[in-house]
Amino acid sequence: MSMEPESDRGAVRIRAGGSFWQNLTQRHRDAAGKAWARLRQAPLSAAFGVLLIAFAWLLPLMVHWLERNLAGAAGDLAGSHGAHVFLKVEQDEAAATAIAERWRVAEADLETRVISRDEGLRELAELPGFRGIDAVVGDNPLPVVVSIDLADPARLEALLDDWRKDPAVDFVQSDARLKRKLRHVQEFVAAAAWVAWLLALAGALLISIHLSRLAVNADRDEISVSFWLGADDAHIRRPLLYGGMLQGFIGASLAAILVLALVAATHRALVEFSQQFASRIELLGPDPRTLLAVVVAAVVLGWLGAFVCTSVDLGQLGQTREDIE
Amino acid sequence: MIEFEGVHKRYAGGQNGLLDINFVIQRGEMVFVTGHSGAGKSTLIKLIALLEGTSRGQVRVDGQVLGSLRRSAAQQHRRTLGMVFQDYRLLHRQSIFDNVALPLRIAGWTQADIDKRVRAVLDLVGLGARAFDTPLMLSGGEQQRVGIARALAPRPALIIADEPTGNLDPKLATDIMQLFISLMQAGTTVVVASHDLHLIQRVKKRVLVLDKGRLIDDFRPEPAA
Repeated sequence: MSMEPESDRGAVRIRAGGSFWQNLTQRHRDAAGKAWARLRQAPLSAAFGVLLIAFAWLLPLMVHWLERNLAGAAGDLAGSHGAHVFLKVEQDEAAATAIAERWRVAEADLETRVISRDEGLRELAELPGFRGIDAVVGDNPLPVVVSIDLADPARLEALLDDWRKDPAVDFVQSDARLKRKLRHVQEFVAAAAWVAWLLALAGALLISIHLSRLAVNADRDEISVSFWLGADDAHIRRPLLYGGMLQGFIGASLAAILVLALVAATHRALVEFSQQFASRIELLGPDPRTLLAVVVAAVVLGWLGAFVCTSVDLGQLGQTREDIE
Repeated sequence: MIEFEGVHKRYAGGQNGLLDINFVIQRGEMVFVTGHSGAGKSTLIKLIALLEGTSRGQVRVDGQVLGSLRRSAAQQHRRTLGMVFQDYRLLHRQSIFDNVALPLRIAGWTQADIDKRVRAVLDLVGLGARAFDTPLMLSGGEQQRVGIARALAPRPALIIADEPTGNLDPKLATDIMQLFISLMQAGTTVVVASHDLHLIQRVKKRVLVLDKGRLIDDFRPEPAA
């Protein structure tokens, strides 16, 4: 067996030379390749980890979607801060005008508009689900309505309470109250969304730490041997960081795809349902910027989880003085 | 090359690993460290590899006091050694090529240099054709040769081997020793911990004998007549 020429203690440093960028890119390429290889070596475990991350992001994305649609609905009522007073059917348009005038004189800032039966039928016919109704009804069954607008919601509520007792009034619909209720629901969903985001952030971080810990345990032999061969912490840590980022990216992307699929399915079902009433309901999809932010956050948390894990576990592993016999 | 000066090693439980060890190993020398189980052979090897620190005294390699090295310098020190283990310590999920390439990747070699170097050392140990097999497809002797190829890959000036023939039959053990002798003849310093006295007598190189942590003999067998 022939032997090679005398070795040189400094050879390792010399051969490791090369441009800084060449070394850097090769190290990162190797680390990313190793992270990908680790996922492929244990596909079931990797899939389970990715699914966990996806489910962690699914809840806040769904709540975000709900909040977005509620905000859209609230926006439709944004211009309304009044009420509609429906008079009894025996009240004709002249009586309604007199009543409206009486109310307007009694309250300085009050604005009123009398909506006649014919006008009411035309407005009804324009509403989703009631198209063409004006052509099929014989006698107009609608009452005369007085539309009310008043900037002070508290004062409006007091007036509406008084008018409810008026013998000419059938019932009162407070648009401002409906809007307020909707806003309360929206605020509750927004608070729930914050909680869901926080839970998802904490969950994704904990999952990433746990998955990194599993990876460290699975590769304990390689890590130990690498330490003995002189690997520094960065060499050991880099593939785990890439692994965390990769799993975060795949998990969040999967969550985004699942949400888009769920929204599409829900939207299709609602459209089919509303078409039965000659109407059309439009749902807003998730905000693309939010989806992108989730993917970026998942990648960052994947990195952070792996960093936390390696800071704790590799420190201990690097100090391990296992008997090499 | 390697100097032990008044080295004591006491483990956390109070057990003595080494007691007042003093010797010098010159560059290009091949030295056996022998003794019964628990004599301190592995502790001595681990002190050279900086897998352990001394309790008292100094270990110097190429004039560097190992105990004074910072973490990064200790890692650099390990990169300049070739380590061979009794149980080979190969990575079973990786190919032979990747096992041998590991220290080169750690040292930051370029892929082109790694390709050339790994093929060269695998040819050297007679396993060039098995580069893309995995370790479990090889016999014990072949696995140990992979371990040696991995130790040789970064061109170390010092190879330390802990019971490298412990799991091998006499014929394979002799082949492995012949490989170490070839390395020594090429200028590499080789330190081998072994309890196989027959093998040590056949090779006829300097022997350090440990007993209960003490260096009780340091001799060179007579060359064969």
